Amino acid sequence: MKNENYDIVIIGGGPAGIASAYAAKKHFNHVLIIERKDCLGGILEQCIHDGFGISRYNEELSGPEYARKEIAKLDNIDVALNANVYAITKDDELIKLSYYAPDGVHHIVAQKLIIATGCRERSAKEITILGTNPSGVYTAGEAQYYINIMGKLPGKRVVILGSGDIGLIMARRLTLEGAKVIGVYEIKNCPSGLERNIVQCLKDYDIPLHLSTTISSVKGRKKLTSVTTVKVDENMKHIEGSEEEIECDALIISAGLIPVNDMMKKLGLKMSPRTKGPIVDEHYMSSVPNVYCVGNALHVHNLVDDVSYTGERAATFAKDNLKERELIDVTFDEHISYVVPEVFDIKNIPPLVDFALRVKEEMKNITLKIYADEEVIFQRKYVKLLPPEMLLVKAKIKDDMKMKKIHLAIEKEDK
Amino acid sequence: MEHKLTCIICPNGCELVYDDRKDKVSGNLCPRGEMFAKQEILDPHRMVTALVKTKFSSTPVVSVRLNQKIKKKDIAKVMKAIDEMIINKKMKMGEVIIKDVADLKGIDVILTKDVE
Ligand SMILES: Cc1cc2nc3c(=O)[nH]c(=O)nc-3n(C[C@H](O)[C@H](O)[C@H](O)COP(=O)(O)OP(=O)(O)OC[C@H]3O[C@@H](n4cnc5c(N)ncnc54)[C@H](O)[C@@H]3O)c2cc1C
Ligand code: SF4
Repeated sequence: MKNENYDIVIIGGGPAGIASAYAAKKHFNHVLIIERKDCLGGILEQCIHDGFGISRYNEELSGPEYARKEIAKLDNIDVALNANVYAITKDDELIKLSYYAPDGVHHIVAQKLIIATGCRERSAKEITILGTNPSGVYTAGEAQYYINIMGKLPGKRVVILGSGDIGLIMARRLTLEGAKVIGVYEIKNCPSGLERNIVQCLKDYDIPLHLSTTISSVKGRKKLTSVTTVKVDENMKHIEGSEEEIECDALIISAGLIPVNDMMKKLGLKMSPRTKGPIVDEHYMSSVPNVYCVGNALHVHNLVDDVSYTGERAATFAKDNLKERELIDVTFDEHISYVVPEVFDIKNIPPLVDFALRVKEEMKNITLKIYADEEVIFQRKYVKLLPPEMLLVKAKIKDDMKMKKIHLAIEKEDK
Repeated sequence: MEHKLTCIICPNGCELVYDDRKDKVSGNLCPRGEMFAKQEILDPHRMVTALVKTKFSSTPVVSVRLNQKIKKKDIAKVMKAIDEMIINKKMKMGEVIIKDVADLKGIDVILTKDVE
């Protein structure tokens, strides 16, 4: 059995993995990307709408165009396509993994590993809907693939459950392609997609958004024939008597995304209950030394530009051989639902630290402050923050700064 | 009159207020918001992305977009023109497949994928 040696291996060839690879190439000789599918680009291949690359390229590109620009930056990097990792371990120093590809089985030994496996959709089965099990029920990503890659319409009269961004984008696509989108139903009392998508995907086409409403059951023997919607109260309990039956031939479920974690589980990374991704420090390093995680595999990002950025950052940090770590928990106040990094290595603090966070509820006229012990190391004012918007801020750290505590706080302006 | 609107140029989604008597925009974090608000009230424009059929079974459809934003009211006729098109030769990302689509001067449909 012959081993192939690499300085750094990246699992996942989406935008996060691609950016990791070209950034890693600046510091390492032998870089390998392992991708399960037959091409690089990840989920971008099926995202044909525009709005990618606004901050990185100052252009509003479609998904495939953005992917093309990023792939063009790969130079002298090994890429294994159609490759399935079936074993992966880490001993004291090295990562060992095996994958099979059309050209056979490969055994790899690497110094460093970046996990960039992206996220997956919560499936229809993970949401409880009563009734029959007819065809015509799709996740938003499946519908996106069906329309944008296969060129087929999933239905003519469509109901969308969940107001995540992909669902909103599919509402517009379906309408433009000639289907009737009857409505988008969201169980929460606020949309989970971005405001700009509510405007340009729903309002532009007069597609109604029903908040505090869900689907209680579906009907249809073989094919879906109708769904029943029901309003919910503050405790998400169905309100009796508010049911409404709606005839439709497709139901599209856009119920959120979660990191793909199979590699993380195999390696025994400590996971975060908040993000459903691994717990990382400010170097994007997981609980297992020299194993990093980026992009949507780390936590779900809104913007592909930010995804690429995390890849570049992690690959740049990977060049440092940190010996000892001393990890403390990053703390935050009750207005914030999560912060990445969740831990902070106070022995090896870099000059610039990224913080990604989301707020729990809508907040207006507030200041985000990041404290290192008692000192404010970052602050910025915001007119409005909403839970669907992920915030990525970068805090400069003074040379030789020592700290025992990192805390994020949202402070309201007194007016 | 004051118009309230959400800027859709970037994910910040600023809440803009356009006062048409003073021709003034507020609430925008950057100058693009001001341009957006004025145009959105006077004559809203949108980008259109779409799919074009091909005669190749490996890529039954390919994605396209316009070279610039168009008036909202023209979206339907542009979609119709794109829907009627069938690509029957190999082409590359960035190539123009329809010039002056639906008789709109200067509006071209360009490929955002290769036809292989
Ligand atoms: C269905 C869907 C639709 C989306 N639509 C939009 C959209 O319309 N607009 C938008 O802004 N964002 C969208 N997103 C978010 C989008 O995923 C991110 O913007 C960005 O593409 C994430 O990049 P990534 O590299 O982290 O993950 P991905 O693009 O998902 O790439 C991950 C890659 O890893 C590969 N992989 C996974 N597991 C393994 C493994 N074990 N071995 C080898 N390879 C593996 C996958 O095949 C994939 O190529 C969507 C996400 C999903 C899931
Ligand atoms: S005003 Fe500027 S920052 Fe605000 S949403 Fe529009 S483009 Fe983005």
